[in-house]
Amino acid sequence: MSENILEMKDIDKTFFGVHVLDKAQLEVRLGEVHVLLGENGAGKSTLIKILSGAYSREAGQIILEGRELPQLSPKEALEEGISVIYQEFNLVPYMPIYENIFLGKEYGRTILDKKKTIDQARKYMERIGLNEDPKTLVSDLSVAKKQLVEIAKAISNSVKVLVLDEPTASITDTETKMLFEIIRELKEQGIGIIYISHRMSELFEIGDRCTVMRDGKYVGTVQLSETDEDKLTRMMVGKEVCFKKEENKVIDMSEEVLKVEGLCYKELLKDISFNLHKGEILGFAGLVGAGRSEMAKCVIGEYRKDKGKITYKDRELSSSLHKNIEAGIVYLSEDRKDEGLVLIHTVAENIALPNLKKLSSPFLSRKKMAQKAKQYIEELHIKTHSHLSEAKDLSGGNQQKLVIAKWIFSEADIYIFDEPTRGIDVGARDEIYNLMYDLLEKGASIIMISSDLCEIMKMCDRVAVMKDGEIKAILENNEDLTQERILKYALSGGEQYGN
Amino acid sequence: METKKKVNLSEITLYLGVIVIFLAITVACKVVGKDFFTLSNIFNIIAQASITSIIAIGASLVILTGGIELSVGSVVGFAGILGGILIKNGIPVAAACAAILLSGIVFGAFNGILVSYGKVPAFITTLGTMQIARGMALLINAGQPVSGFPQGLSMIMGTRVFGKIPISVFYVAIFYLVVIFMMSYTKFGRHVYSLGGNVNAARLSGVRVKRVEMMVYILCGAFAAIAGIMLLSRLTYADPNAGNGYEMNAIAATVIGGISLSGGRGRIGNSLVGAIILSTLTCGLQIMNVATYYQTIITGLVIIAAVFADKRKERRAE
Amino acid sequence: MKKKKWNKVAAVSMTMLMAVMLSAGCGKSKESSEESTDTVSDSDNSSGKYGDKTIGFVGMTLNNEYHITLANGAKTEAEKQGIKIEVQAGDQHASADQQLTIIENMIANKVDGILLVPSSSDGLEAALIKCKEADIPVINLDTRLTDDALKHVDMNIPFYGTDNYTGAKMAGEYVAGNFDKGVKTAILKGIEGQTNAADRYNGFLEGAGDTVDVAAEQTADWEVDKGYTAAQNIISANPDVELFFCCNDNMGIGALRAIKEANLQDQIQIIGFDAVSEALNLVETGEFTATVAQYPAEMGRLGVQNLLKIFDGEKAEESIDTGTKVILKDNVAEFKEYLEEYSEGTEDVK
Repeated sequence: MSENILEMKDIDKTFFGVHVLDKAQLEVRLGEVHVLLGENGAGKSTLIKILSGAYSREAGQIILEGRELPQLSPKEALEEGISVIYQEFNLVPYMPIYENIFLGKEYGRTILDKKKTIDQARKYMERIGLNEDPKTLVSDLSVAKKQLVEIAKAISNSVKVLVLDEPTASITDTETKMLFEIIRELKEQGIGIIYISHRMSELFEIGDRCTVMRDGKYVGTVQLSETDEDKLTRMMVGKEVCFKKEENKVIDMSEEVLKVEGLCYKELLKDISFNLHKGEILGFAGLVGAGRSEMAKCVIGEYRKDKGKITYKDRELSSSLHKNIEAGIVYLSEDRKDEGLVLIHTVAENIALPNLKKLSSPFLSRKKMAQKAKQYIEELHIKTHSHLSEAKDLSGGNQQKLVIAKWIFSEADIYIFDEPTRGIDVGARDEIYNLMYDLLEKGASIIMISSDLCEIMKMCDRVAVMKDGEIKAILENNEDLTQERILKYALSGGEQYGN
Repeated sequence: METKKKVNLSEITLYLGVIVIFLAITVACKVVGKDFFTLSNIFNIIAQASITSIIAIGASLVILTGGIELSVGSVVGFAGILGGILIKNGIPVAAACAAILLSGIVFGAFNGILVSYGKVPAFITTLGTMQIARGMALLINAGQPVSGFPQGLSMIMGTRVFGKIPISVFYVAIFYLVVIFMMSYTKFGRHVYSLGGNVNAARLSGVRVKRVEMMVYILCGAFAAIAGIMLLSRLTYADPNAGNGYEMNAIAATVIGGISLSGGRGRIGNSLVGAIILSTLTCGLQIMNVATYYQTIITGLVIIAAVFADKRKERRAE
Repeated sequence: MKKKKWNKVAAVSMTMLMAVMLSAGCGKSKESSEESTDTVSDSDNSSGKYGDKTIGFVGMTLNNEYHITLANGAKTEAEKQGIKIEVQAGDQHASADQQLTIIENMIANKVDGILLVPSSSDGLEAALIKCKEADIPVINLDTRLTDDALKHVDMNIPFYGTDNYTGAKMAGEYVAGNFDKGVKTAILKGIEGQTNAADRYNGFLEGAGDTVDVAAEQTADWEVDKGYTAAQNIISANPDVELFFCCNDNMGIGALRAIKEANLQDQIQIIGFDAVSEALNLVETGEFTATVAQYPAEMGRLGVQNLLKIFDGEKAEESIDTGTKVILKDNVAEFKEYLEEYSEGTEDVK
């Protein structure tokens, strides 16, 4: 095992009582490209953040070159030779390339040795084939070149393990080819590379071995030359038994409450069309960045759509957010803290915010406000000291219930849930599912964006699968629907690739 | 229940602060052989605080949305000189007051549109308006002050109710009661709080964020204009340089009152307490005949102490 | 948890208490010094009849030398006469509102007479009416209240001060007598709307007549830095300017700096106004051609003396011109001597 440059063993991590990593492990050999694969929320980025020192681990070992590492700070991890290149770069845009490479380890005591710094920077840049003047500002570079600056920076730190997180997500095919050349060279030099990507075709081209993770657990490590896409997909999904969907008794396929035709928004949404029936739960599956949240925000009017027609109850929907909310279309953001709640305000105030009209006659009744808050705290089992506690003091699951409470009170027609159970423990999940069923009973319809395939299978009547801003398929939830099928559309845009 | 206590804690600190300052000044005055705690003096203090506290209503509204308003002092100056010219030219006092109010609303709308729809940072917008309003105040009467007004003007502030209580006490009481009610019991008031608390959540809850923001600046301008009328009547003298630095007094009253500069948190009524603390200090120190230089130092210390307490509270809350 | 909260409450209250204590301390030290002077006056002046009376001195500001000297003049005289005096001023130049607040507080504090250096000539009607209602005599110093204002409040208020107009006219006459006709002149003026500012400006033009050719005039609000910028702009627009008449010395000091930077000291002469000590030094070195001296300490002194007359039931002087003098290189030493004599007197107070 001496060939292993890095070993991570039995890593544990919990967030707010949710086990996000459970005995996770990863082994990277000297000079190999090791692919880390898993669905959204499988624990890949948490594992990487533990490696880079951004998070602390609760249990487990990290062994670098046969030496066990203690808990490291991000700076110490960097000094040990562990570099992570995230999708959002860690570069100072209005500084030149050379300063970015040597930021924090400049030559010269107080006065910078500019010439030496530039010469050294040029050396690193040549090693990875970045043909630019070191004095060019980073903000003037293309995404691909910024990535190369990051790599140069990593090399200058005498990197031993280099992590690339979705490196090809926003660069062109030619640039991808160039990047692969560089990755191969780095491999030759004995650097261990951890490569995170969902693009199946790429994995087989660049990767040597692949470790698959699922629900924070280690599934297995395979030689990529000895496997295929189907096998990998199966490993990602696992044999987890999802609860079968219950029959939806309230659905009325003859009544179309929402119809979206040809919706376009910037580069992010391309010709999105779908419809929603009364009493239906329409799921939206896909990978992060597929454009699902953007679709929702265009529908409610938070983003101004470029093209397309949205019809709600036979009338064209306006592009004004507050009018749509008044008309009964509401969006429950995946980002509860930033878009769902006013954290510094009380539970009661949060529930009241979209419903002030209902609580006023003509002036706001504080008594009614408290009454309603107490009622929803009880009905939704929101765990809080009182209705006067501030929202920020609630746990994630209870915050989510609070968001739902404020919208249940508003008695909307269409609820768009964006990742309604993210970061919420299993018990609370069922409660949220039940609340969704209650809404259907009351005559509402639901769009549910979720990255949890089990959840999609359990709840939705139909599933729209998005990839790169397009709907690749809208699938009926019947016996034929499997997680693998959904994942295939989400990963490669169609079933034809795999089979 | 614990939370309820937490909400009130800052207020306990604040009210305790007022009482401590009051007692300390009373005692200190007694030591030097002066009377501080007399009814007429209390009325004096409130009358002296009245202008700052009226401006502070507007400033608090803006600060609650997470903005800042620097132009109010200049608007006070403009309002005064505009009123002076109109009244001097025979326009009835009531009509002149209406015109002044309108001018405040115009300045407020100008700020509001730029901040909400134009997305210019509030600090920059109101800094600019501060200069514009001051320049216009100097321009409309060629930099000259106006004086020699009819009796009716001084009645606005000079009247004493029941022969004793300055009428400005009632203005302050009425405006504060209306605004406090508005903040707690109307949609608009709650929307103002939500805006400062989390603008994204507010918008996605159907709050018409831009309109609320603009309204807040308009109200702020209107209150500055009302303060301008009060100052004009108090001095029966219109000086284009009047109101200089009042924006800072209003902001000081607001922060002493515990309204968070990051918005969304605090009670408007407490900015009145803040204004009264400031004028109590000035009055008490002047009665004790403390040199002017010390007065400014002490006022500065109190402002910092108040905000320090507020910040400690926030840090503890996180 | 609970205990911590109360600790914090206590901490905050302590801070505030300390601030107040500090202020109380200041008040006390002042009081004790007053007491000690009381005993001094008891020993060398048998009268001590004003022991229970207080004079309120309301200054325009206390952040420039001229006004400090004025206040010191009043303080010294009050010491001498064995009467208490309270000196207060706004922290901003020209704030009628702050002066009104000070007067209200002095009335509440039951002063027996007020010496007023008004921030503007007609901006203090409201304050004067309050004095009248409280039956407190007022003497106007330095900046004359307008007749209009006095008529409005229907009070008879004595005025002791300089006739700014005459002083400026004297400066103008000096220019007329010592410069060639058509000398290119720049004028730096005080705050718009103040009588002083207008008097100095008009008086100078009256005295200088057609000797001066006014090339530029700017308002520089009595301040050094504004005088500096205004002079810079004037010089770059009119490089041929030969004379700066500055309506106070501060603006002149600013102008001097701009002139030095432009290397035009040989070409441009400066005349100031007020004879502050720095200006006197500059006249001595020849960097200022002249400044106009007033006698601010005299105003304070006469104010106290006449207020005491009123207390004694006598009539105060209606109006006193404390005089002005053009200070040139040949008489600057003489004037400095007078001033030093005076400032020794003021140092005793401190």
